[in-house]
Amino acid sequence: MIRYLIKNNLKIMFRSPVNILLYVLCPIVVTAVLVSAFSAMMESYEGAGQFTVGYRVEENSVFDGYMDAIVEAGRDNGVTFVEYRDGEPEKLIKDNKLACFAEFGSDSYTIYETQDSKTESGTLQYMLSAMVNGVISGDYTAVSFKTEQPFFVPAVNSTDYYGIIYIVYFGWCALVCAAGLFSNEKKHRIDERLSVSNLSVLQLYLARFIPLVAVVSCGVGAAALIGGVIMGVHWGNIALSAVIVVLSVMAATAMEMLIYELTNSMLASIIISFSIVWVLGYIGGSFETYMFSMHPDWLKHLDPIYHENRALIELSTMGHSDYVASSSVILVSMFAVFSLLNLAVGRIRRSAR
Amino acid sequence: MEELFNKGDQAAETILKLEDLTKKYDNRAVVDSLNIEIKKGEIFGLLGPNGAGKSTTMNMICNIVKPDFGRIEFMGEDFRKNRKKLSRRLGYIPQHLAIHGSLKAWENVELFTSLYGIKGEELKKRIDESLAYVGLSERKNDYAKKFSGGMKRRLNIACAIGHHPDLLIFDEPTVGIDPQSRNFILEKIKESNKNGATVIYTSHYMEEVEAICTRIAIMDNGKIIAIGTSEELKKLVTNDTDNITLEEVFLTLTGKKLRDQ
Repeated sequence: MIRYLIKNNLKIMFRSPVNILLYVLCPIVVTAVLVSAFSAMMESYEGAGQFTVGYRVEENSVFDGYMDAIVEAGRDNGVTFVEYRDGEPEKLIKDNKLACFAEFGSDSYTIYETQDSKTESGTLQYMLSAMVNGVISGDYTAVSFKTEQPFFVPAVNSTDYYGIIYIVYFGWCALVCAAGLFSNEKKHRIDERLSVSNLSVLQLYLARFIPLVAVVSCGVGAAALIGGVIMGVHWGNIALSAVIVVLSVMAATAMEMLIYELTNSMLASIIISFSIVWVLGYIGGSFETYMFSMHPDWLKHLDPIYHENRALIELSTMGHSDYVASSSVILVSMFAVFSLLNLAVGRIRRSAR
Repeated sequence: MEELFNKGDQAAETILKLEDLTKKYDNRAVVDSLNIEIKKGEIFGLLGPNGAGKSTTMNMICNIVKPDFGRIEFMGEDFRKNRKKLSRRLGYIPQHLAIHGSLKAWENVELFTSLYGIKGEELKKRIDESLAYVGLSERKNDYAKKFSGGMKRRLNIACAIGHHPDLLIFDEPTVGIDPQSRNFILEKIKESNKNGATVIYTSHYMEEVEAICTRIAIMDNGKIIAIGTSEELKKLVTNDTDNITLEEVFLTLTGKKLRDQ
């Protein structure tokens, strides 16, 4: 029954030049601008290269049993760990020309850095953070380090980073794609005409949701393809990355359709939706790279865009990522929760009509 | 075109019955205990000044607005209890042009006709049939946004008749169009009626209502203040029915005071 409605809604959205401009051209233009603007900064991250880290491990530290593996993995990736049992970290860094110093406590660690070694300390922090997330937070006794694989992200260049991140970001701005359709339905009271036919709330929701997700996914998919060909953006695991991007479009669409359902105003919905997505992007690495951003980890971990960005960047650089699972779970949950809320609000509105 | 509407038994059977229909907004009754019975085969005109409650009444019949009180009986069944089944027997032509400009004419008709469960070859046949009925066959592949006002009005009608409804509700279908288009639409309404459809028609153009409606109700302040044939309404005001227009009857019954100040 809604097959033709979906088909025609698809046609309406595909025929809008604004959608082509926004979802195909904009990500490419924004990526090109940011790549040229931030390539130097990203090169400094690439240029961390080989460096030496001093370290000290307290007695009974949870890290104690893993230090050999950490040292070995570091060596494989150009990071030399040198143990200093005594001395002030600041003095040891200065006297021994260390890039930074890591002090492992009973269940935490502290990294000391200098003004000139922020890149190295960022790399070390990323490496240790990956280890803590991947190993210490899991089954402590059962997990052993795989030293054959580096556990921090190899250098990501600005083209790959922004080429991926802005596909994600524009995918989160899904509502704009439906602005023409929804506004026209409201202006010409087409929604009233649809309700005369007695379509259910679920049918009406699906007739809008499915084409919206399809058009936004196709748009950002085309942008990713063009970005890959023209700028050489490297996605790593393309199939898995595509699934994650489509899941995020679904989550964003469900969230933004709920905002529209609640406000009943396209302008207000776009302002609210974009504000939310901007904040999520700000925390999640859409503007400042998440590797070097100063936001606390707990805050980043609450952000679905952070999980998605990190999963996709790690898929690009390493071919695998622990964040694939967390981002997928978060995005599917968002889609489910917001869709159910959409249906509930739609039913309440209909019964109150 | 004979098959476009379901003829059924035309022996003065009631097709639509409104019983004590009431709708309030902000504690003000916009439609106040309305009782109307419409027979199969009628062209029933609903007149009233702005704010009289005509559109709200139409919206309640069409399931766009929920009544606060009262009952709508359509084809012998409670409409609100059997909405799913009965809404397929209803065709609603709204006053506003409820069509998508970025869809072609045939795509608009496809969209709205398919909502009633019609698909495949049958759907294609109904699209052609509906467009031919309103004289848009040759423009079926043109985008609706390129149409003139009159053509959009005709397309608006085509979108509501593809599922062969028994009852057609026209809410001011001739607003803002040229005399030729208006004449075409009025002829088509009469033709639909001749082919078996019952019609409810609202308009502010009294001569239109007088020309096509078999029975007319005048509504004011949410209530029916007069109902009957054009002649019967005129007799409420004067016995000299040859020298009075329906508009004069309307103004006498509803007053000359502006309603939307």
